[in-house]
Amino acid sequence: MKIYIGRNLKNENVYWDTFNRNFLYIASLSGGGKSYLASEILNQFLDQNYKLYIISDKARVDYKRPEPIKISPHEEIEKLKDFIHEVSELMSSLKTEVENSEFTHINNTGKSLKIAILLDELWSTNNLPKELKTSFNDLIELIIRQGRYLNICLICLSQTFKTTETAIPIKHASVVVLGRTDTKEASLSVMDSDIGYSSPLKPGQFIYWQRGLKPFVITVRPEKKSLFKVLWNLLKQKLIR
Amino acid sequence: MKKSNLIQMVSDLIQSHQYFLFGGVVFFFVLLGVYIYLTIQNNKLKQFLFANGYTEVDFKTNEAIYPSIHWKKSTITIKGSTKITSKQILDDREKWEKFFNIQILSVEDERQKTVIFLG
Repeated sequence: MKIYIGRNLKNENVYWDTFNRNFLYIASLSGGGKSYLASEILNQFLDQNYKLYIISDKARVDYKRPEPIKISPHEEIEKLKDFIHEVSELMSSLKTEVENSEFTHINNTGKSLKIAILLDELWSTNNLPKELKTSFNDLIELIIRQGRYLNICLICLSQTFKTTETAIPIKHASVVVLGRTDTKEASLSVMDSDIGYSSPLKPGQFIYWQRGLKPFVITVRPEKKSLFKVLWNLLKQKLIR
Repeated sequence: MKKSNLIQMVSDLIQSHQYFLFGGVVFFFVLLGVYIYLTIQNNKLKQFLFANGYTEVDFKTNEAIYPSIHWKKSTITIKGSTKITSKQILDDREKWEKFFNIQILSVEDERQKTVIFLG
């Protein structure tokens, strides 16, 4: 599945291909357009009938759509435990499914289970009770390592650029969307390039870096659609009605 | 026709069209000013390109060949140079930003040209 992120400076659409890369890391200072971008991405997941979990203390403030399962990690500890249990079981059952099939990706087996998890304010998970924190971090690490072929997408949002602020291995992010960083080292710690510091990014502008490719600037704007696509969607909507 | 009549005719003509003439003179000076300003700017740009080694030498005439630079609202496009690449511009970032008084957002190499996107 392709998720629209924004447009590059040549005004071309930029997409995040979740089939090959399941971990998206968005980091930007406060007011950089991070939550707006995240909510745009979540809307696309919801339109594609994904089961969505939002783990954030601000989940009910930032994300207004009722469909996602919103978990506040500090106030709803039981809910968080249920989430860990549910996702772990689901992962092991899906893993067995793929192991028993001849394919290497859950999508090819004909099973259409779609899950996306959004982790907002990464630092806040550090304050969880020790046992819960360990099992939560283990689950997230498992998703990062094995979620790709199980079609589980993970989106992490952070205000700071320190990879050491959390036990989650951010360095493994396959796609990084980075706002303007305050220091050169901050940019280097996330993406091996100081472009996040040297480029004068405005709010709504980000550096898009896919592992193995050259980073480039994107602007968060509505998707550019061809006239044919717009007409086709209209026709489809009318036919459904 | 007598000489005095001719002078009289010319002076009448000038008197009846004096505003047009005045406007013409002003317009001429404005054009001249724009021309001088553009020439000075072009010379400065050429000096900048030459001093930083972005020019190439014509092997027949031994003259410097300057790349063409088009400055638009949000981009600067450089064509006709093998020496100016995105890497080169990013290495000399400070010089470019200081000379053009811009902030470079991103530089990309395209086919036959290099585009600087301004911040």
